[in-house]
Amino acid sequence: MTGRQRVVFYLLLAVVAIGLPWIDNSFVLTTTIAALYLAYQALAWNLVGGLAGQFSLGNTIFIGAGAYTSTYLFVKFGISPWIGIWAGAAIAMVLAYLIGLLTFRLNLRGLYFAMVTLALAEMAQVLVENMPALGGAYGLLIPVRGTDIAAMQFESRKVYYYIVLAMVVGAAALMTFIQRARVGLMLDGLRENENAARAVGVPVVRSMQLVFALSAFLAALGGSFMAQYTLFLDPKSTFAWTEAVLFLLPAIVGGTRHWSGPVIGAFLLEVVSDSARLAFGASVKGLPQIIFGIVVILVVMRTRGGIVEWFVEVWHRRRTGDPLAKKGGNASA
Amino acid sequence: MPLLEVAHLSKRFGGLLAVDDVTFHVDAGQILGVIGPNGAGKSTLFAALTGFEPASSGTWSLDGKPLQGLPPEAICGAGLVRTFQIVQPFWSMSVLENAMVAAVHRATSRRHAGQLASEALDLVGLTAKQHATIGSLTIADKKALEMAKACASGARVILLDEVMAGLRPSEVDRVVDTILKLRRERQITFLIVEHLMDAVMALSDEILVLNFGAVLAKGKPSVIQRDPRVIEAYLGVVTDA
Amino acid sequence: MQSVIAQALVDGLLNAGILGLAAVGLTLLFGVMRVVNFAHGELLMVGMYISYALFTTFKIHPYLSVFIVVPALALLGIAMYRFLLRPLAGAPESSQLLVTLGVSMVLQNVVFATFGADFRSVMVPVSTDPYMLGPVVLTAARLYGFIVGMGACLGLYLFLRFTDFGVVTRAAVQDPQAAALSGIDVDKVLVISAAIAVGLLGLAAAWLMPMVYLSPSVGHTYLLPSFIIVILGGMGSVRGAIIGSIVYGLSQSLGAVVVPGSLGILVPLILFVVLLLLRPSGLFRGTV
Repeated sequence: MTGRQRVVFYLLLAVVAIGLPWIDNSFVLTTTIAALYLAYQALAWNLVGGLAGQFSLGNTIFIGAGAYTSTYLFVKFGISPWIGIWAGAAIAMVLAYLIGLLTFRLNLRGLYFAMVTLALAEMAQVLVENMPALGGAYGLLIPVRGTDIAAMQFESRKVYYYIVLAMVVGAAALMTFIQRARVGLMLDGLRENENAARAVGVPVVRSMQLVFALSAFLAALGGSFMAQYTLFLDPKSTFAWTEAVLFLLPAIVGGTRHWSGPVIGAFLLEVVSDSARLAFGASVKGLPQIIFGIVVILVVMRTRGGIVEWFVEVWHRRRTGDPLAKKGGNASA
Repeated sequence: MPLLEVAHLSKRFGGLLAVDDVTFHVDAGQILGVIGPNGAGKSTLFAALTGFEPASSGTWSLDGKPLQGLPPEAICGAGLVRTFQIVQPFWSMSVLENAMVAAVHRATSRRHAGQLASEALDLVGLTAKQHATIGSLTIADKKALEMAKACASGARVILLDEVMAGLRPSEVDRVVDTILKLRRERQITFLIVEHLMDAVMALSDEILVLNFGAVLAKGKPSVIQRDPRVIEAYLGVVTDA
Repeated sequence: MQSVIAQALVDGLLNAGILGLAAVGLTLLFGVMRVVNFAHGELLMVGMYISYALFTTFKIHPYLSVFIVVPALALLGIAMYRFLLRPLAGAPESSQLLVTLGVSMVLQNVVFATFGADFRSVMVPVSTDPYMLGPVVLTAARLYGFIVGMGACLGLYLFLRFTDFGVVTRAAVQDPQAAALSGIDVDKVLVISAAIAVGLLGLAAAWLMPMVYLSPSVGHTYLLPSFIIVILGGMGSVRGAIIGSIVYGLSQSLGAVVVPGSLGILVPLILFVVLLLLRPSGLFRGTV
């Protein structure tokens, strides 16, 4: 679209986003918060999974690191979550660096990387379950304080909405910034052909470490947010591989090349999930996931890069009237 | 003035000694042709020099800087770059983007990478096709792109691995012109593995002959062509019918 | 203490039988089709539920249910190959991983919708009949599981190594084009391989039934171990799967003795990561 169209579009989007809480419908607000959080974690995953092309199943490790750190610091030492979240993010980045040393530096890619991260996530779950200080298998409860800004707790859902909205905007901005920077070009190359990229000087391991650390950073902040929102934290639901899969689905379905992919994917999945639950309620359990699974299969088989890219290609084809039209080049930005 | 010095480089694959105690040097601005029968270790030599295969023993350096043990990207950073025998472009990107990826490690910004890339494409004659997809390129163009990428990455020494393979004579001429142009305008030194004898003999300042992984001979093309050991191992003789 | 370790050794070894059987199909699929089958655990789970349903409805003993479960799963494998994997033949590796991920989600939740999340089990005499080997107790189910599991794995190995079809399969794996040029119907090879790989899962499923508690998420319990076994043994290698399953089984049972509580699972996981770092390509290469 043209520059002017784009400005108008984003303006409208901003108006809708900012004005949404005034619809005064608890259901809409709750589901939008859920969708935004899903979008946020999908964007975080996409830094590694989409931009660097490394299929990580370990994002739950970082989500858990963030959630447990900020919660533990608050529950045991009374440290405000506003400070605790950064400690969690820092720990997550250290973990990411160490895991990167183990995997990227030692040339583990593809399935191997996926399995190692999956194994590490399982280890994390077992370790936390066996740590009474972190609540063991029962988890941690955050004492309810009503509206207490220092404790990052708010009576009104609206505040949480704006926080997660800001987080999504931040994550989208970070993703775009990375894509437009030098490192974005490096990632494009190494994603496509790692050996060819190394042959022309691309610092492959360093680039992967960088996005992995940033991904962990974002994921941890998200984990802390979710802990503050639900005021409850337990190892099973934090580290479960179904969670890891859930947070990568939006990027797969929506597309990994542009921030809109994970966002649209997240909203799509959330809408499907809630519609299925409303329509069939308790009668058909697991229906949302069945639909997700089918959507994933269809997207992978029918499109090359998710729904957004498919859409852009169709649009482009219509506009130029050429059935074979395809923009030359697929590098980001 | 030797730019690239290689000392006792060996590469062993289990029981097979693919590169056997290879020692030679290349002067700045030289074109060194590397010839030898198939399996003589030429590609393995290139792979070892650029860090794609860890050398079993030996040292080599560019402008005095030791390169053994370094990963490919660091060796490229030092100025030693290879092209691949089977071209390895970034398929989903345009020609310009391909060159930009090669340039980015030494560029200060994305825009700078674009500039460096454009210059490299101009040198190899691909400017007109800079926005084309890889799929639309001819094999000659793809080979030219490999050279452009090496150039864009700031190479001082380029290792060309059978860059003329599969090309028509007119395309081979184009490659020769490009090599000479890159040497002239960018002072790039070349090591060229080739099987096209006419082109290699005409182009090279010196020839290095490998056989069974070891250096058989090194010298001016006219001398090599008459060396009986080389003739027996590789070039063959003209027999009276 | 000695007898505890002896018990753990025996248990681990016996478990390896079934683990190996579950893993060998995965390695076959990867070796033959380069497919990373994320639905592997769920396919096993489906087999188990079919066996369960046959037991509760028709009182068919799980071991006898193989005659239905194995063909059913073989058909499922063929369908997956024909409709999902073959169309994606040229696509990047991640596509198959994602498609099978989608399949696993569908399978798990279809079963969830049909049977609910309750744990179910099949109790038959073999479930608890003990054999005694000195101080060590061998449950009949576990022993038979080992015999059948290892037997099937060895059978597959011999089949691939010595029969005509085995040679043809290996040829198709090593170089599909050359194989096709030699007159081999590569597609037929792949179809039959898919049938065998998933069919074996059916065998494992039937033999597991008397031993485990069943729930829609049981598939995931076998997914990671299967992948670990396959990766450690060498992707595509049947021999590797057999050895890998023994390594995994022993590390799991000995780990449970050495490390208290649920932390025991850390032992095989840490071993996996360490071994992977030491030798990423696994123990063996090739299909056999």
